[in-house]
Parts: sequence; C-alpha cells; structure tokens
Amino acid sequence: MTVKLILDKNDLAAVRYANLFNLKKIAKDILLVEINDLSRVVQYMCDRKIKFGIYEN
Amino acid sequence: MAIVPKKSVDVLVVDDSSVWRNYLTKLLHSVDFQVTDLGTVYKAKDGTEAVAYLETKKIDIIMLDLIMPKMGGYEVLEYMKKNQLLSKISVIAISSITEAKDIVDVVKYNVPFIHKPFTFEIFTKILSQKELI
Repeated sequence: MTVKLILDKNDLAAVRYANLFNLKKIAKDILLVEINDLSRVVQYMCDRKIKFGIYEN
Repeated sequence: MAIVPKKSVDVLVVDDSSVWRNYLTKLLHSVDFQVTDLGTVYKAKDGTEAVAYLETKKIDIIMLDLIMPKMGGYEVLEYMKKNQLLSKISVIAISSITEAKDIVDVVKYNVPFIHKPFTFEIFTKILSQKELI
C-alpha cells in the first residue's frame, strides 16, 4: 500500500525529501510513500515542523 | 441541454478548540468550490457531539480532530466503521499529533490526514483529491 504525501507547493525542499527517503515524486509537491516507510518519513516531517498532508493513493 | 445542479455538501467540523472550529469554517467558506457547492457547516466540540450530528443530520464530509476530551477522533472513526451508513461518510482527519505511529494509525483507516498547522495549499489539495473542489 502506498500513500501520497502532500507538501506545500512553496516548500522547495520536496526534491530533497524525495532523495532523502528514496521516494517517488509524482508532482512538484506530491511524494509517493510506502506504508512501511510512512512512520519514519512522517516523524522526520513532524520533528522539523514541515507542513504536510497525507492522502490514500 | 439541461444544466445539472452541483451537489451540495454539508460539512461537520469537529474540534475541541473553538479557534480551530471557527478557522476551519472560515477556510471552507474561502475555498472556491467548483465541483460541488458548500452547503451547511455544522460544528461540534468533541466526539459525542459529532456522533449526535451524524445520527440526526445529513453529513457529507467530516473534518475530524483526533485528540479531544470525552470522545476523541479515533473513537469516532471506530463508531462510524461499525455503522453501515456512517462508514460511507468521507472523513478528513486534522490534527497536530506528532507521534508518527498515531498518524500511521489514522492512515490505516483510509482517511486523508492534514497535519496542523497547515497551509491553504495543502488544505485545498486534500479537498481536490476528494473531488470536492
């Protein structure tokens, strides 16, 4: 199962997050995350106060 | 050719913070709804009030905070899951929880999640994924 991680379109670090977690980037502000990876990705976002939303793929 | 009226969606905003209830309501009214029309926006301050609305009103979508007194968002989701009619209502979870495990738990209910604080872009992006705007 994968979900879409939705970032703010003004957050230009999306590419960096995608590279950091080896995620697929399907739009400028949408990354595809495997449910097994979601916990560490989300913890990273929360710890750094990065704004995000999650939508089921 | 007949013009098909847009579907009107009634929204229930559930949050124990009156500031967030009012802010979310204001945000909804500021969104440019094109696919649907925004109908009535109801507000509930906890899960028990939310359930009362769900049992008596036609609700199309719920904006649900997760951590609330009396009855929290996870309990509302469980309550809805057990009811055939209520389980069909769209839910968007909105919370400031910072434990990744809790966020993953919400996603496992197959509901979109918005982390507080969020931007207008993220809010509208989630609504558009739901094909509401």
